[in-house]
Amino acid sequence: MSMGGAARRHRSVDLSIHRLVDLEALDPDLARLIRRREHSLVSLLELTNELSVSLDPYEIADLVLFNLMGHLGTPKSCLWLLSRDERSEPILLRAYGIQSEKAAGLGAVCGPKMCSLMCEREGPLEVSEATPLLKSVDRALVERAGLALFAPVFARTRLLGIVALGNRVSGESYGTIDKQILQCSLGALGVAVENTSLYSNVAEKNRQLAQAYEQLKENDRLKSEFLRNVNHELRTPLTVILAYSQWLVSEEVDDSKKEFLETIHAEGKKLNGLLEQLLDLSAVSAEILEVALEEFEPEPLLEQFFMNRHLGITEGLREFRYGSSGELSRVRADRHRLQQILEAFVDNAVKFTPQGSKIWLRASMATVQNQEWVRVDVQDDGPGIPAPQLSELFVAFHQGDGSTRRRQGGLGVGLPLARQMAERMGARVEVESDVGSGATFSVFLPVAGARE
Amino acid sequence: MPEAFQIEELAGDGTRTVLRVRGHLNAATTGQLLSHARSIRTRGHGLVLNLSQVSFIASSGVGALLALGEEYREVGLEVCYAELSSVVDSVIKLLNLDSFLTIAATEEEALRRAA
Repeated sequence: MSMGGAARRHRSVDLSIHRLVDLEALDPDLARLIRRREHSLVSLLELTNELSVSLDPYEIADLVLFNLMGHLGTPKSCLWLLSRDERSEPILLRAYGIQSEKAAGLGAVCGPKMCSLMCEREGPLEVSEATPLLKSVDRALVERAGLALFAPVFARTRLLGIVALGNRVSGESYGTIDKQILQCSLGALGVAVENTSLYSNVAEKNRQLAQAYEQLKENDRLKSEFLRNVNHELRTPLTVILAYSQWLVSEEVDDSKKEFLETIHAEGKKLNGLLEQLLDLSAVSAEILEVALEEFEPEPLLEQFFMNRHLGITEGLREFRYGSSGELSRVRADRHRLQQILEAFVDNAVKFTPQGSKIWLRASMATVQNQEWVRVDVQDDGPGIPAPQLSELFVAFHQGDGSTRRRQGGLGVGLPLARQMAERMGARVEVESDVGSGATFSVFLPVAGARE
Repeated sequence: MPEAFQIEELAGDGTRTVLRVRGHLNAATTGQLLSHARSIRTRGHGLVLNLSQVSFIASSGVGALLALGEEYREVGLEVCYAELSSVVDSVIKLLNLDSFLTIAATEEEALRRAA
């Protein structure tokens, strides 16, 4: 028997009713009766106090049975719990003063009959009342066991179990008040058993969730590994296709064929870009994305980036402008990753703004939380992004409301990748947007020499 | 702060072992008493339980004493409760258990009974 739980917070209970009344002055029988009632109440309080510290059904069974045996003065007691599957036999938790095998057999033989009788009565049942309803062989079993009383354990209206108590060593029968206090005790037991069951269910669900989370992490790792492998297998032939299409485009071929070849080459380059994004994302997932930090002036890089993208964007009938305000500090970042972040921002702006829109690339100094940053914004005057979707923009494979992905194409990995890359180099990304007022995507680059 | 619960084992007379119990006998401590008493039962020894230093006994403690007596009886051994402290004595009498339990005034008397 373990009562370790009870040891944690056990408190002795002292009602001291006898101190309120001069029992010596009363009739001895009345004084004794008062003392017995006081003892019963103290026992009940002790039990509720003890039950509040345990979540182990076997420990709870010990607490209840010892309390009842001591309180009612019987050396025999058993507790069976009913399985939630009503067809199965009552399960013996503990038996004292009766061999466990006998007690288990009693539960199997008499349990169902006792359950139905106690449910009708909703209270304790003396063996003398129950035995006429049992088969003679079962009756003999109960009588030989020296049991006197069966009592139901309810939680709200559901029958959870049965307690059986032996004859009292004093030879007294169980009185009405004894049965009432017994029912109160078993009410507390019902709550304790129900709590145990609820706690166990929650604990089991938590365990399953933790297991599912581990499985998801493993699946994610396998997915990244798969992406890396597939990328490798796809990029090798694609590199060949791009090389040959590039060569053919530069050759003298007739105009109609040249147009086809240019399309093949352009689409091949697009496919190559997507594969690179996927490769980077899987590298991020596997925590092997490399960044090469260095200190540099950001303006030349931004100007070069603007020049590279300007023609393509304006050709798509979107105005593209660049400007910086004030003198920019040197930054500590990875040049290549910074370009990739800006590519993602600009691609996003082009993808989600209609023709005729304006896109600005701006750089400025910013102070956030007492730290200096170089802030680079890509702002557009497109339709904007609804607030609920803002937090999901940086989640991989997610694009706005989902319908836009089908309309605009792409994998939905550009922005998530941008955020991951920024974080890897100590920078951060932000987005601000209002529906109808465009969107601004920003990257904050740490100034060279700033504290980490 | 309740007195620390302690059980002291003495050799007894070769057929009975004496356990002197000190402190509160309640839900937190009955497990310790039962497991100690069971180990003596498996040796085939009877038990003299000296309860003179029990300063508090809860219903669960009384229940454990009754269960202990029954477990010994089942295997043909006896438990004798000796030198009951006043708190134990008053609860035993209040519940009319004194006629059921074998009670001795002293350890020596308990051992003499066995002989």
